[in-house]
Amino acid sequence: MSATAQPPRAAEGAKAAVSAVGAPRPGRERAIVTPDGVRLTVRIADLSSRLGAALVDLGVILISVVLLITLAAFAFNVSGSLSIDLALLAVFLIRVFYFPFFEMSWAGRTPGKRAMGVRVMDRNGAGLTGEAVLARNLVREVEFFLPVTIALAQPDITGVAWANTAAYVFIALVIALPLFNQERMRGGDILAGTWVVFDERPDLAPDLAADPGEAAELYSFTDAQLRTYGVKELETLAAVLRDSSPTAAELQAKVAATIQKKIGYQAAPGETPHAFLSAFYAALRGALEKRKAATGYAPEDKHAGAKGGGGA
Amino acid sequence: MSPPPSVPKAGQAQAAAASAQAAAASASGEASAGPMLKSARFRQEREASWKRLEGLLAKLERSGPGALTPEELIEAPQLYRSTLSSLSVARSYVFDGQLVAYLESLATRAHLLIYAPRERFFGMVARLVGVEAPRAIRALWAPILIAAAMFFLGLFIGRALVLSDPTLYGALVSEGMAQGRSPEASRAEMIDSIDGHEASLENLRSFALFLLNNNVLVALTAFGFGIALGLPTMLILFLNGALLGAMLAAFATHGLEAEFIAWLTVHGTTELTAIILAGGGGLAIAGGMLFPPPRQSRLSAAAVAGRRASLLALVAIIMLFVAAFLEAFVRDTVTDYQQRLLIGAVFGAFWLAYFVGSGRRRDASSAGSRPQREARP
Repeated sequence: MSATAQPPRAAEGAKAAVSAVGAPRPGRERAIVTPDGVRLTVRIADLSSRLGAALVDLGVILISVVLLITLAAFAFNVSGSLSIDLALLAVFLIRVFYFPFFEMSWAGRTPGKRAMGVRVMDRNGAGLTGEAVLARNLVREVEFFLPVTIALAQPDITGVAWANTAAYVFIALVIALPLFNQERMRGGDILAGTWVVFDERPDLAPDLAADPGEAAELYSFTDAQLRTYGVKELETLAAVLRDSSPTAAELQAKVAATIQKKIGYQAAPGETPHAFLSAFYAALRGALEKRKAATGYAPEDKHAGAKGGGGA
Repeated sequence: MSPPPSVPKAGQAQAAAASAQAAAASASGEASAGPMLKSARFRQEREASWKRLEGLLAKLERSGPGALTPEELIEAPQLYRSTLSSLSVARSYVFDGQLVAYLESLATRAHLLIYAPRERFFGMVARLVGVEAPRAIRALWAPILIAAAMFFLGLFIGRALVLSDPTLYGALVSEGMAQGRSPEASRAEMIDSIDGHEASLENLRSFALFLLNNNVLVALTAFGFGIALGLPTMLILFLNGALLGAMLAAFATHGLEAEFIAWLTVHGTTELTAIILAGGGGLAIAGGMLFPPPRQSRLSAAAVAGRRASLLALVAIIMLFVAAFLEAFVRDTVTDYQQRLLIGAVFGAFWLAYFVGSGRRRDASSAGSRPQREARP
């Protein structure tokens, strides 16, 4: 068998296709169980997405305050100390209500969180209550607005030197909290009973086996051929078929050649790798479904398949 | 070892193919399961309902629960449950990870939305302020009392220290806070500092905003630092008490303590109560973390305490709004000693009545439902 020359490269390409198409963003998985007993998996958002969301929200707040002042200046001829006061009031109201307003109205998302694809959720999977939204955002004062105020305007917060030092240490510890727990909870999340998770919304790609079409009628595979692979290879094959990168055709040719060699299949002249792979995908999926329905077992991958566990 | 190569059979009719291969290739989906895979048919039958749910969720997320018609409000949970069952089937019998991922994300989104309280932001604020917050204040009387005790301990110590040694005043009261008031200042200066002033509206407005920002920061810091087991909260309460005590002492040395208290009372009953409430919230958080109820983890106890305590902080913010207005606009325009006391007392009584009396109706809403008037048996 000269099967060692081609396959590694085909396998690598296929892996790359899998990660390009369907892989979720990395993050610790946590499960919630619905009252109906179904387990749903969520992934804890990473700190860079959180930071990105916070920066976007900060930008939105700043821009809206500036717009408000400009609007007031032009439309209502507001200027001087009144416009400064207006800005102060706007900053105050927005600082206190921006986050609770959006997290309540948009199901745990602010404009920044929406942009970064993350959302706030209750740690138990229950609905996000007003109290939780309030708690996590009022604590933001200590974690964000207090340090910013200190840094920009008022390093001497307590008027007493040793108390200042104590305050700095406490503030630093509270800010660093997300680094010390696996769920990346900041102080506000701990006190609100919330997590920030990735808000994944994969589109439903067309079913690769929806329409067997005329092409499929041209192929038939034997039981032994279809027992060569398991579920993992089927998923890899799906990713290869869905691959839309410029190198997709090349990759499909490689993968088709590898499979054909492995199952001992002679390609007819003029037959495209894509047609072969589509037919083989549908046939393999059908075979696995049948085995699962008949025996309650479908091999995870080709190694499990080779062992022939639970076969008919 | 290799199975015999199969070749494409051009132009063969499907029925013929099925019968020809039934024996040899029994696992071929096409051969014995009809023209379509079971999983493909499953998806085809259900896909429309998934898309329908997706549309309803988008509507809900965009514009809140009010956006759905009554029919859609009934439909959404039904679609959610059928999507959950689709997910269970797909996990076991459909070997298409992409489909399972789609269904899982759809079900998760639906789950989080469908069990969420159907409440709009302003309705929520009204419920929290009107019903939940006074209930929380009554439930958390103990930490609030401790916060008050901490504040008044600071007040008495600060007052006693400055009375025994006026040079300590500078250590307790920063120059910005003192604004010329000190034991060394002349009696005339002290009287002037608490007397009425003709100030421009502009200055008063800026002053009110400054106070608001400053006091809210202090209150929320006292609240939020409950997470550091309440130590900074205690410190903030104590130092603010000591500051006020030192000022009291400064006025006492000039025999003006009663006048100062009257001047302070105008906004003080509101402002100091707010700070103590926020501090009490912080201590309630610390209490929850330090002494979690039996069979509850420290983490979930922190969340229970944090949610309830945040209601105290919310009330504190609202009170500080009122206090800033009183401090900037009312305090220096009302100069009569008794009128000042009266205003302070009226506001104090109002807040007390709110804490004690609001949200007591038994049918007032609790978490997650709109207030409803139900006939009680």
